[in-house]
Amino acid sequence: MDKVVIIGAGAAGLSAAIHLAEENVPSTVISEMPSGRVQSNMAEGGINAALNTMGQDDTPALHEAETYKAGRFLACREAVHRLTHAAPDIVRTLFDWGMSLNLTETGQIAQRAFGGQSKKRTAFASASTGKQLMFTLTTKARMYEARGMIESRIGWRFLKLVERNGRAQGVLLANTNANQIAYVPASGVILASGGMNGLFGNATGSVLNKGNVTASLFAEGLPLGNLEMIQYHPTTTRLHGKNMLITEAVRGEGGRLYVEQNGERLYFMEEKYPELGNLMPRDVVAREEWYWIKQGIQPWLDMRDIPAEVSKNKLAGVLDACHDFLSLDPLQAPIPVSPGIHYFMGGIYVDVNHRTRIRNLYAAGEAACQYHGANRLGANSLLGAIAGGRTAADAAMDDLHGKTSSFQPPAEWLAPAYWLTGRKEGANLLRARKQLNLYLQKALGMERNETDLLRCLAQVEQMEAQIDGGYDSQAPIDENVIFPHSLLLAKAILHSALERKESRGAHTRSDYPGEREEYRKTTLSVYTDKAIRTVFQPIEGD
Amino acid sequence: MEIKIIIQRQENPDTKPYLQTFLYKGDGALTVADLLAEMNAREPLMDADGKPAPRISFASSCHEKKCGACAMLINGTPKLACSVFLNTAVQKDNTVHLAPLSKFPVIRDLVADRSATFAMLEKMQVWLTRKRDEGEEQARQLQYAAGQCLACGCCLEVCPNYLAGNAFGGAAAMIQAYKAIEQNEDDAHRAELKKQYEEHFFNGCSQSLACAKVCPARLPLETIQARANAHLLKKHSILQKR
Repeated sequence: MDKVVIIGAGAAGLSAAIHLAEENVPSTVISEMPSGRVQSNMAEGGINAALNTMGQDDTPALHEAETYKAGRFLACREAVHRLTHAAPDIVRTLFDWGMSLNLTETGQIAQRAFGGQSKKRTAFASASTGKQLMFTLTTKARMYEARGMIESRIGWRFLKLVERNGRAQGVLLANTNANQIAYVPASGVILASGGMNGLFGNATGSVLNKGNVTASLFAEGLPLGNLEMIQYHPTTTRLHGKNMLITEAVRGEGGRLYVEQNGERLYFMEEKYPELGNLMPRDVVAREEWYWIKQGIQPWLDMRDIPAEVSKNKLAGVLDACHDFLSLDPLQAPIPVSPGIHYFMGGIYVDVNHRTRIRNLYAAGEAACQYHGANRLGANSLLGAIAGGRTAADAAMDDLHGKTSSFQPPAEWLAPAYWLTGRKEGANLLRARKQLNLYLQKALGMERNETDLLRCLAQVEQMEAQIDGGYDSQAPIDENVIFPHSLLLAKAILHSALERKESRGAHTRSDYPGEREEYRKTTLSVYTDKAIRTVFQPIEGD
Repeated sequence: MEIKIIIQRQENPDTKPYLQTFLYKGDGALTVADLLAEMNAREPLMDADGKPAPRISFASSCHEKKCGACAMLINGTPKLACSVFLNTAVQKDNTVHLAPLSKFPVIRDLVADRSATFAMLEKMQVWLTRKRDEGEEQARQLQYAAGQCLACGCCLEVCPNYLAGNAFGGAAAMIQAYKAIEQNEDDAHRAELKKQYEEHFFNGCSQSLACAKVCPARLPLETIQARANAHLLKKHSILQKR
């Protein structure tokens, strides 16, 4: 019998699992924590779909054009077409499954304005859209779990993909709390493991998303795409450990960005971009903020012009978070904001059907490089996760051949000691990861340049030399196995940023300002023969 | 300030718990979750007596009160470690006590096994067969509030009627069952949901309402419960009329 193994229990993973279950294909979902605790729950502002409920003549074609343009023409157009045209059905389906979306007075799904979009296109559940969406998917998945179609394996992390003859055969897993390894055979494997937060350490998302799955597969030769495209969200605020997101919906509902100049407020976005103002695409807003921050001037996000009732009804989560973490009431005072890492547009390279270059292996959600090009539109991430999960499930089903892999790994692979053979104790991977975070934050910030990137590359290479096969007896087995691969992945990102000698979307090179048409290509990173190769290849369908 | 961090530790489910004290020096303007991460990065991590200590296991994911992973006992009260600042948690004797939730089996240190809460939802068949039409009967705000439940387990920790593995599901089960009962069309599944609600919540709740006071998401548990009960009792009144 067929069984698909899904790595990750977020929006993309559950979307795939539910879609498979609807077609009577069983799956096993692997996750360190239950679905209610993963990063998708943190999404705030909404999910885009041209439902056209606000009387603005919105169409999927316009959603497509605006997504493609905001991504600075670096996404696969056909994939964007499918995404945006599937969107209305996806949002209506979520509503039919019980999702508590905000409604208009006439009982239609309400939609609000979001960055880079000329129509009110963002369906939402106050400022907790991800939470409500995950509640809905989890409820749906529970029904299939009870029927035996979905098996949840909570408390396990990805250790290694087992591949034979160019096909994914199954995955090795490490237990989160015990020194234990398990093997799960598969007919297909869908990677829905999220972004690469763990390389940077201060991203707005979950600390669970280390990027270890991506790092491991890269080290095994799987190509990755557009790694340099890292979204800095313009309105994040610093917490002690990491940055916290203040949703774009604040600006969608009328929040304004300003800096103080000579005792007066300068609404810098509204002055420079009269049409979309505070709702320009994220890359643009972040760059405009950066202009002031470089001069030591603090940008502020002001909610005081939004009617208090609107803030309380549609942005309740923002008020709560500011109260709890900043001791600040946004109805009375502005919020200090700065750009912070929020989303990885790049990742595992997939085709329009979410197939990777390994047979029976698929990727979806933030782990995959799809839909968003050089800059993601706000509220396209939940959409991309659901659509990608479905598409990957469809591709997996097309490729199924009626049986799960019969490959059995050698018994020694299940012994944790096997994975440390030939390595000596002495590394401190917590410290090493923190060091890597600091290096990458500096070199891959809002603005990059060759000098900083090359310096960082040398620093990471030095780290590789220092670690040199050492292991950390207090770190989990998967971290010991994969951390060296994370250094490799970090180098691949740096090479991608170095080779793209232009400024496009989220990638700003101070030494190469401006877009250049010859770089309107996918940055492909491949690790072969112990070397990282970075090549520019035509975008699929171009 | 110098604070003594007293942590209840346990190596695995089969070993005995023990207390270990650590020292923190600083202004305390960080959350308990950040503190634990910071302590784990110490080289080496040493207890208050200067003896090396193993890193402290705790569950965390979002660090901003959106996932419920980091619920633990802070000075004996269940709270989310990500949203309690150390300088507000410190007691008069300059101590902060951390322990795992006590109603669940301990996996390791501050990590408790809350899987029973999810198993209960499956047992109670909390899902929709088909959503009923949107109508006045629906309390959309309360349904939204139900969807905000973090499944952190704080409500269960303080509940006098709850113990993981028993028949009573507590507020964490109640709130999810409520949403499903109210949203599902009036079919056999809805009748089953009500039956399950009655068995796994209604019959076991002694109305202490301790849950409502401790919920980190400040959810209106009392109102939601009243509404869920009304759905249940409506069934009974219909039966009585017949």
